[in-house]
Amino acid sequence: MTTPQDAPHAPGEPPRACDGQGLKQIAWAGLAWLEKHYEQVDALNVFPVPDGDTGTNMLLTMRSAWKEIVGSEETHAGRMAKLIYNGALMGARGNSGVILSQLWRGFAQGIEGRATLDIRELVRGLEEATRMAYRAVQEPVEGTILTVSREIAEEAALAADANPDIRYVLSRVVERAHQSVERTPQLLAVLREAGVVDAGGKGLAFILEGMLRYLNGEALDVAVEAAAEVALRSTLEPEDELGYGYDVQFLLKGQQLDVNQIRRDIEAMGASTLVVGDESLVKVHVHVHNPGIPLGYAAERGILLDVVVENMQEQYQEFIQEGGPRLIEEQPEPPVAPPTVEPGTIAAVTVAPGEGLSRIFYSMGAAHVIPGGQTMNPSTENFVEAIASLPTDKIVVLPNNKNILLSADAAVGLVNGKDVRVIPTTTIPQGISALLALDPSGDLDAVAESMREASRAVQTGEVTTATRNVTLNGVKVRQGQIIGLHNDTLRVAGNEVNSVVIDLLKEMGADGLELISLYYGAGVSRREAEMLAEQIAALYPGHEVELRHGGQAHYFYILSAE
Amino acid sequence: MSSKPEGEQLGAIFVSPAAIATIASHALLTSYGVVGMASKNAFNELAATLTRDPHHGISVQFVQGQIVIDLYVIIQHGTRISSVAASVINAVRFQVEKAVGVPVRQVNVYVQGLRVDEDL
Repeated sequence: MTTPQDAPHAPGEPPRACDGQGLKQIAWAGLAWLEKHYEQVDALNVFPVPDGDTGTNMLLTMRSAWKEIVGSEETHAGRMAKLIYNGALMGARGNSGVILSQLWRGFAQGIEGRATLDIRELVRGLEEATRMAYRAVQEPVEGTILTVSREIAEEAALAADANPDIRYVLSRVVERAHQSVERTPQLLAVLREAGVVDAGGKGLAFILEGMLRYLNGEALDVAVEAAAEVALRSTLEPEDELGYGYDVQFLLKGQQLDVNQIRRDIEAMGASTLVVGDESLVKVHVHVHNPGIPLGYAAERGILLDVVVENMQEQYQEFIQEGGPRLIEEQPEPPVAPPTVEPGTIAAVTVAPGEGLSRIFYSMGAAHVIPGGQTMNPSTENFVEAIASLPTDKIVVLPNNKNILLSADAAVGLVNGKDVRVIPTTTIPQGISALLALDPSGDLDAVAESMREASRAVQTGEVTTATRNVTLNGVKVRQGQIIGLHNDTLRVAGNEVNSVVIDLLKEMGADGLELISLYYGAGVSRREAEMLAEQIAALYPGHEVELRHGGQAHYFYILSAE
Repeated sequence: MSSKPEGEQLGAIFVSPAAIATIASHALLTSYGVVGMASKNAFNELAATLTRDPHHGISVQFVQGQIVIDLYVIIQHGTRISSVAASVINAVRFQVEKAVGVPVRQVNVYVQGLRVDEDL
C-alpha cells in the first residue's frame, strides 16, 4: 500500500537530473496518479473473465514495482530501472500487468549502463520499451496499450528533436497518449461495440500523466490518513496462483471492538479483506505485503489467536527452481468409487452437473450418477443404459432438474424386468434430501414415498448469471447481473455474487431453519467460497453451515436450507 | 466411413474436437506472453515441423461429455508465467464457450519451455 511515508523526499520538487533517485521519484508519481484513477480504468473492462480488471491489475503491478524500490538508495538510473522491472515482473497481474512489466523491461534494457539520463536516452528507453512489449506475443493486437506505447515513443522522438526539455517532451507524450487512447475504438471492434476506450491504454496514460504532473510540481493529492486511502475492493479475485505477498488470518479477542472501524482499517492494508465478528471477537483475513502491519495493528487492540501467515509463492521462482513443465490449473480430486449394488436391493440413479456434486452423490450411496445439467441434459437413452447396467431390479431415479424429468419418465417402461420409480426432484438439494431417505433394503413403493416427502422438505437456492434482461415476479434484471432463484423461481437480483447469496438465504427463510448447505461451482474458487461460508456462519450463529465443492458449470452456488 | 461424425454429443449441439482446437489456436495467437506452441515429445515436434499442423500443441478431449483442453505452450522468458498462463486459460475458455455455447470443463496449460531472446 503506497503511504505518504513511502513518498520520496520532497514530493512536488522535480528531480534535477534523471539519476536513479530521480527515476524512483518519477515511478512513484506514476503509481500515485494511477492509484487515484484505477477504478476509472476498471470501469472500461469489456471482457467478462475472472481477473479482468485492468486498473486493479496495473495498479498491483506498479505497487509491486514500488515495493521493490521503496527502500533503495540506488543512484544509477540503469540499475534502478532494472529493479523497477524486477518488482513489476514479480507482481505482474493480468494481461495488462504483464505488458506493463515488459514495458519496464524494455525501458531498463534501453538505458542499461547509463547512470544518468539525458533526453536522448529517455527516448531510447521508451522506444526499447515498446519494442520489448511487442515481442512477447505472436500477433499483437492494435487498439490496445501496445499501440499507445508505440505512438508515445514516436512522439517522444519527435518532441525531443524540437526541444530537449524533459517537461516539454513528456507533455507532448501525455497528450499523444490521450489521443491514442481516444482512437482505440477505431482500431478494435470490441471496444467500438462496447462504446469504451482501451483500458490498458488508459492506465498507461494515467501513469505517464502522473509522471508529468510530478515534474511540473503539481500535486498528486495522495490522502494523508491510512484509513482514508484508496483501498482495493474486497471483491478482488483471490486466486491462489496469482496471490502476492502473504495471506494473513487471525482471531482478535478484546473488549468493545469496533468491527466496522477494524474492517475499514484492514481494507486499507491490502486486498481480499474479510472481517466478521462482534465486539468481543473478530475474525480477520487479508492479503498483504507485510504481515507485521495487520498483526501489529491487531495486537494493539486485543489478544491474537489462531494466527496463520502463508507466503503465497511466486510461480516464476518455482518454475525456475523446478526447471520443468508445470501444470497450472486446480487439480481435480480423484474419483469416488460407486458403491456395489446387491441384487434385490433398491439402487438410485441420479443426475449431477458437476464433478464435485457427482462425488457427493456417490458418497451418499447413489449407484450411478449421470453427468448433466442446464445445457447438457441426459437423454432417455442415458437413463435406460444406467438402469440396465445395475445388477438389481429395483431402481429409483432422481433427475434433479425439471428439464430432465421427461426423459427420466420416458425411461420407466423401457427396461424389461426392472421396476423403476422416478422421484420428481427438480433441484440438486431435493435430490440430496431424497437420497438421504433411501433405504436399499426397504419396500420399493414405501421407500419411493419417503424419498418424495424428503425431497419436498428442503428449500433450494440457485445463484447464477442472467443471460438476458427480464422482469419477473416484480424483480427487474439486467443481462449479466447475478440472480438468485428460490425453488426455481426468480427472487433476487444484484451485482455481486456474495450479496445475492445472502439476500437469497434471507428470502428462503433461512432464519427459521437449521442447516444451510452451500455447493460452490466451477466459477468460484475454494478461497472465495470459504470466505462466503464464514460470512454466512457469522450471520446465522445458531445454524449449521456446510460448504461442499460442487463444481457445477452454470451456478455459482447451489444452496439448500432445511 | 462411419455413420456418426467424429465428435461428442453435447445436448443438441455436435462439435468436433478439431473445431474447438481451431478456436483455441486463434485465441493463443493473441495471448500475451505465448510465443509458440510445443508438443508433448520431441518426435511429435519433428513431425509438426514437417506437416505444419495448425493444432500443434493443442489437445481437445471429451471427458464424461465435457470439454477438456490441454495446451502445450512456449512462453516468453522474463514474463510472469503464472499470470500469462492464467490469462491464456481465461481467453481460451472465453472464446471456446462463446463460440460453442457449452461450458468448458477444464483448460490446462503446460509450459513446455521459455523462449529467451538472443541479445537484441
